[in-house]
Amino acid sequence: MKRLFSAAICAACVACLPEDRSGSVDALVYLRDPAGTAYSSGVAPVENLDSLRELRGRDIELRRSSRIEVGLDLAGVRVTVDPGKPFALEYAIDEDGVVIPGDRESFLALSLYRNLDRAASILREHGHEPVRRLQVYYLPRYDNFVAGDGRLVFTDNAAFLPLGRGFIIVPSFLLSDLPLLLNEGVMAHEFGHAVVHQELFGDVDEAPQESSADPGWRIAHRHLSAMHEGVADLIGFAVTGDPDFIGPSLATDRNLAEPRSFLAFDLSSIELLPADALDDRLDPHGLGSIMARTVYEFWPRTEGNRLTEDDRGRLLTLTVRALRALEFAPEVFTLAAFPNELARLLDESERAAACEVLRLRFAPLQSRLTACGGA
Amino acid sequence: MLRAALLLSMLLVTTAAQAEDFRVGADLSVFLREEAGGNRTVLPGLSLRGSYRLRPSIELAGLWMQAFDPKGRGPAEASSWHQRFAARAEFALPIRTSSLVLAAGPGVSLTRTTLFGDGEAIASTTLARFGASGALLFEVNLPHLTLRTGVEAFRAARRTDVAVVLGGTWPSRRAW
Repeated sequence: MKRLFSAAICAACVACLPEDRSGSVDALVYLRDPAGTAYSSGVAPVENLDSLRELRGRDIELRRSSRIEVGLDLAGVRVTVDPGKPFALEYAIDEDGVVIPGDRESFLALSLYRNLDRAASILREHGHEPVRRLQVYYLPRYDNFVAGDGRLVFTDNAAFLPLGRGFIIVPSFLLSDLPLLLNEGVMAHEFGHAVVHQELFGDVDEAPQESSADPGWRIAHRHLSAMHEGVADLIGFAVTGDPDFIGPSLATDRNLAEPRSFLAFDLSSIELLPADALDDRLDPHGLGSIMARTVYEFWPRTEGNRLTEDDRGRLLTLTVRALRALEFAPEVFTLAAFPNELARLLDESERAAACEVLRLRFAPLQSRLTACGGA
Repeated sequence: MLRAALLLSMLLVTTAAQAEDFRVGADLSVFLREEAGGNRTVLPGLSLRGSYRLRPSIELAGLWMQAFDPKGRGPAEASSWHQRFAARAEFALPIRTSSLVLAAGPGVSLTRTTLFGDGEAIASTTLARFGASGALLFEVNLPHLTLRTGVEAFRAARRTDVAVVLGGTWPSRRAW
């Protein structure tokens, strides 16, 4: 009798939910104007859905009530991920069949899913096939053994978590402009981290020797961190066409259209290890941005000075191929490895122009530019 | 419409019984709404209730709770008005001049949301969900007033909203 009663209550609750949808639906989302950089609300297709209600699709699945715990044990820092429960989107379907989100979080989450799915679809068109569906840990509980409950500390950010095969999306409190999760370029940047990780290392929890104390491996990982950010910036640009895709969310010096050189000081900041590994303050974003700006500068243009959609598509295709060709090992891998491999994949006439830029912008690592004849 | 029907039915029943058996009340609450992503939004809430005392330790109560979530200041925002209607049985365990009250019964949640894009209202939805309402409360009986505090919960459509309440109830027609 008790079970019947519970079942009746559950059935009544479920009975008044709108029908779940799959495949492609038209939905009210927050999106970027394809012709420019402005964002606004509009109706757009949300595709590749297995379940609209649970925001689960071919390549992306949102999760709620998840938990990320950063602890310490005898082996070192330990990260555990509790994936939580399926998402519970609130929505209605209007007379035209358009999905209207039923509250603010559903509005944001639906737009977020669309941004990540679009990035995944574009990367598939250019040779990257995800080995598994990636989870999106939406506003997770974040516990750190030093700081405690980090939910009020870790805000206004988004990050790729290889261990959890997914992304962490945290609340937007401080940014008054476009929240990061609504920024198509930022979400493509985060998806780019997943692309880099899979194409370099496959379906693994972490990069090789990530916790190694060996100075050679530690330096290689510092170069890798910077490269990760640079390639992710390139993917964010290629998906949106905006070299300053972060700008609508955050005033920061990451505009790919503004050239920057990699200096001896930058190389020192990577290769001079701090005495205490836990005191590592290397910020890979600026260094990666230098690499991304260099690629933006030398990338062949078919129409005048701007990179067309076809040019950006070719950049994505060769990015995936270059990542697969890279060797990650101490003394071999540097921040110059990726642009060097890209230059190798260009046609001979294009390579000459690319190498001219590479030698100018990456002078401290010129000996590593083997596609350009080395030193 | 639902609110009017609830209040009317209570008024009709009131005329047929003793004044002390009918009570009305109001609570202020901290409403913790469970969002789609599992996080909670904290909102101030207000609820009104009417109840009929069947026996000294059993009451039948109708409850209306509401909370308003205002539009924020970002480019993609929404304002929501949350309402909860519940009809439930309340069982009181007397402890001297106080009582521990356990309540349970069906309910309906009604949420009206307006989505804004760049400051302009772009769409509205009204979503109704059937569910279950419950509460654990502590009541202190004073001469003409019963103070109450505790936790209310409403479960519907894979969400559990919680409210911490503080308020009071009093006879609907005072025989003073």
